[in-house]
Amino acid sequence: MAGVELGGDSKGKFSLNLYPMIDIFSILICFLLMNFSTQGESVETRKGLELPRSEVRMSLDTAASVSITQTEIVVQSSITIPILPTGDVPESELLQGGLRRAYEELTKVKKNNETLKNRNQAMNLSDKELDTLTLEADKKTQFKLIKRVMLTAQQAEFISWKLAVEKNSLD
Amino acid sequence: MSRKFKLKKRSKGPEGPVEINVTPMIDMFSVLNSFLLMAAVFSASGLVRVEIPFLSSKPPPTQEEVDKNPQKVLTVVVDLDSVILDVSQTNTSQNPQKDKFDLNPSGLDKLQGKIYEMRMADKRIDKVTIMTELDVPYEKLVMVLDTLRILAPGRPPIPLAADYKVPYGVDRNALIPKIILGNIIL
Repeated sequence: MAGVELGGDSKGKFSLNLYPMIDIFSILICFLLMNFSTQGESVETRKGLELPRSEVRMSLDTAASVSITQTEIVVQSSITIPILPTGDVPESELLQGGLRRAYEELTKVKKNNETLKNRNQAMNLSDKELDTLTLEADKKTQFKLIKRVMLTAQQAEFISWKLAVEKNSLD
Repeated sequence: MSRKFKLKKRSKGPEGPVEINVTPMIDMFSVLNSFLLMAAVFSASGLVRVEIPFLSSKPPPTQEEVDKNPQKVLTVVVDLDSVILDVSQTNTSQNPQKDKFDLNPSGLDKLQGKIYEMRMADKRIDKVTIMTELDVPYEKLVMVLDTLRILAPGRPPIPLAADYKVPYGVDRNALIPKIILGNIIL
C-alpha cells in the first residue's frame, strides 16, 4: 500500500490499510447479490399502514388496489376517504352499506377491465387477474371496515381479493 | 518468407515491492454496494387469496342430489379471542358439531389438526367459509387464513386428484384451497 510522507520532522510514512475494508465490501456484496430479489412488486407504504405478517409464499403482483390505513381509505391512489376516530367512515360517504365514491371509482375500473378483457380475448391472452382487487390494510384495522370495503367492491362486481401481507421469510 | 522475431529485452523496473492499485476496485465496490443496498428487498410482500360470496344463476342442487352425495360444510367463526369450527352435513338439518379453539398459535394449530384430519378422511372438503366478528382486527383474520392455507411442519400435503382444479393463485399444497369470507353480503 502506497504511503504518504508525513510532514514535519518525522521521517516515517503514513499508510492506510484498505484490505479490511475491501474484505468487508466483498462479503457485503456477496451477501447482497445472493439475497437480491428482482421478484415481487413493492407496495407503496403509506403513512399509518403496517401489514400483518404471514407465512404465505405467494408474491405480490399487479392489480387494482384498495388501501386502508389508520386514518383513511385510498382507492386506486386517487380516491381518499377519511376514517373517523370511531373506526368508521363519515355518514356522507355511505351508500347502501358501501362507500359511494369508492363504488364509483371501482365501477370505472371494472368498466376498463371489461374493455381490456375483450381485447385480451381477441388476442387469446389470459385475463384471470382482472376481476381481482388487492387489499392493503393496516394490521389493526377492524373487520367492519374491511367488510364495508369488500361490500363496495362486491357492488362493483369484484368478488376475488388478494390480501397483501408481509412475508415472514424472504423466499 | 521467414521472419525473425526478436524478444525485446525487458527494461528494468523500479526497485522495491510491486503494488496493485486497488482504488478503482474500491470505487466500483462502493457504487455496487450502494446500489444493492438501495434496491434490496428487506421486507417482501405476499398475498392471500380469498373470495367473497356472490349471487349465482346456477340452480341449487335438488334434495335427491344432496341425499345421494352428502358433503360436510365447514364454517369457521372468528371472534376476538377464539375460533369456532362449525361442521354440518348437507343432507341433515341437525345441529352442527362445534369445536372451540383459542385464537393463539397453539389453538390455531389444534384447529388445523382437526381440519387436516377431516380433509384426510374426506378429500372432497375443499372449502371453508369464514364468519368474522366486526371488531376482529385484520391481523387476527390473517392468522386464521394462514392456519387454513399453510400446513404446519410435520403435516405432509394432502394429495389432490389429478383433475382437481386449484383456484388461480393458490398453492397446490394448501390445506384448504377455497376460502370464502362469508359475512360480506349485501
